[in-house]
Amino acid sequence: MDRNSIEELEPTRRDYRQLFRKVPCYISVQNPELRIIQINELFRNDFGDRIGELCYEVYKGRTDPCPKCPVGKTFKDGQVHVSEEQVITRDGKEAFVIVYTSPLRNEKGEITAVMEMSTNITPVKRMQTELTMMGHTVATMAHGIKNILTGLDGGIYVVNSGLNKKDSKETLKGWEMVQRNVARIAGLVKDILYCAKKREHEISLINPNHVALEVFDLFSKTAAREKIEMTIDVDRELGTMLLNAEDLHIALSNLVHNALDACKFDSNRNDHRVAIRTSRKGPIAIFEVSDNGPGLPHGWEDYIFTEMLSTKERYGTGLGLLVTKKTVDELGGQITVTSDSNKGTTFHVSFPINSQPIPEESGKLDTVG
Amino acid sequence: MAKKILIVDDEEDLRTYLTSLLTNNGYETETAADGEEGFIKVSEFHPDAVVLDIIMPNQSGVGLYRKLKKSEEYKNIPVIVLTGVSAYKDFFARDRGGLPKPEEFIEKPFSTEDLLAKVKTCMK
Repeated sequence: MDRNSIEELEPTRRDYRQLFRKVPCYISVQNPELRIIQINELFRNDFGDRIGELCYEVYKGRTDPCPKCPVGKTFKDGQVHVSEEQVITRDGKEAFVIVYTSPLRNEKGEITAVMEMSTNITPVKRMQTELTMMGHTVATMAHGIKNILTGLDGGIYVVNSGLNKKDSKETLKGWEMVQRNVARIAGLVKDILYCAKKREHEISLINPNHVALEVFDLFSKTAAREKIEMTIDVDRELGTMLLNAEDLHIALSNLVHNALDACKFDSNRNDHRVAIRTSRKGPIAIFEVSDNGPGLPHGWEDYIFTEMLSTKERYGTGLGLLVTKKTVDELGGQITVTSDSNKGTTFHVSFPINSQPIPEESGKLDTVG
Repeated sequence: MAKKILIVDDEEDLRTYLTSLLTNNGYETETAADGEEGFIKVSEFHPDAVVLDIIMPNQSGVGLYRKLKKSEEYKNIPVIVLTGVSAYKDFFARDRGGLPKPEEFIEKPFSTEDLLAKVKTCMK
């Protein structure tokens, strides 16, 4: 090729190099050993400068090639292969990618390398999961509503029956059924709205032990009625902190309510206990609600804060825990659960003890009651 | 003589509802709050039919159904399965461990006409 032709080609090469570098998806080129020999900019940003390393180590942190490696397939048959993969970026985040592989040939037509082009579809996957969850949520809600409707149908029937027979006792019984089921609907709607809305949480100086004691007082009578021993153990070291008393009350009440139900519906023992504990671990305030009920069904720990799950069938919709999780998240806290079929379940809620200066108007301690 | 129906459901509201509905339509009723109590009431009350809920504490409706259908004495008592979980209909349709199908199946919420018709049909 003469000098003029080379000079003419140079801008085109530059353009292609630029295109390779700037294309908004991950591109890596692998040799037959599956070592990365070229990468583009987005790849470098998200996976690091990993030229010379094995692609399965870089993309997935594996020590051996992936079982259905699309690059390997392209080396073998020279065809384009498409697959969906889960990869780990340099900051440890999981990402879903759709991968296209294409052979790169030399002048003799031999495949010397394979180009792997991946598009990050994590937001689409996330949306897919959210839609599935929404479907599940609607189905669970419909189930809850179905039970309430049957209760309402029943209440109306009994009221009418009592009125027809001029039996005030029966009428009253039916009316109470209607009231009970209307209250269940009100609770359900409140939970749905709570889950759907983004709320502002007014933070003030509170004594979290007072809130825990209020929750204890609120439920101790119900516990006694159900013959469940209820205890509270507050850590005086916890002191005061900046938090929203009402939200902490909602979160703890939901957990205690669930714990009592877990015991109430458990026929395997008759020495049920529910315990509330507060403690401080350095800059973290910890609240625990434990029960010695039957424990969660196997595998529920993984989904209990993201899906509407209820062990109480007709009595519960599973929304309570979603409300609790949302409240704790919005307050900057964390909620976890440990469960054992022999020992019961413990929910752990933790908040960083905020050391921000106290606003002037928050001089007085907030409680809920 | 009035036909006797045993209502087995752990929810008090539903027991009240069915008691009112069935007695208003000429049946004699008795109630039980779970499978265990249900079996005792079957032996004491000798019902002509059982309206049976599925999800209950202690012994579930499935447990009581199995017990009844395996018993020489009670296997001919018709059972109307009443549940809010439609998946149980499939469960009863395929996985009964060699037991016969329940005589009737009603899903909540139900119409009073439907329930009464099924109660009447299963005792024919």
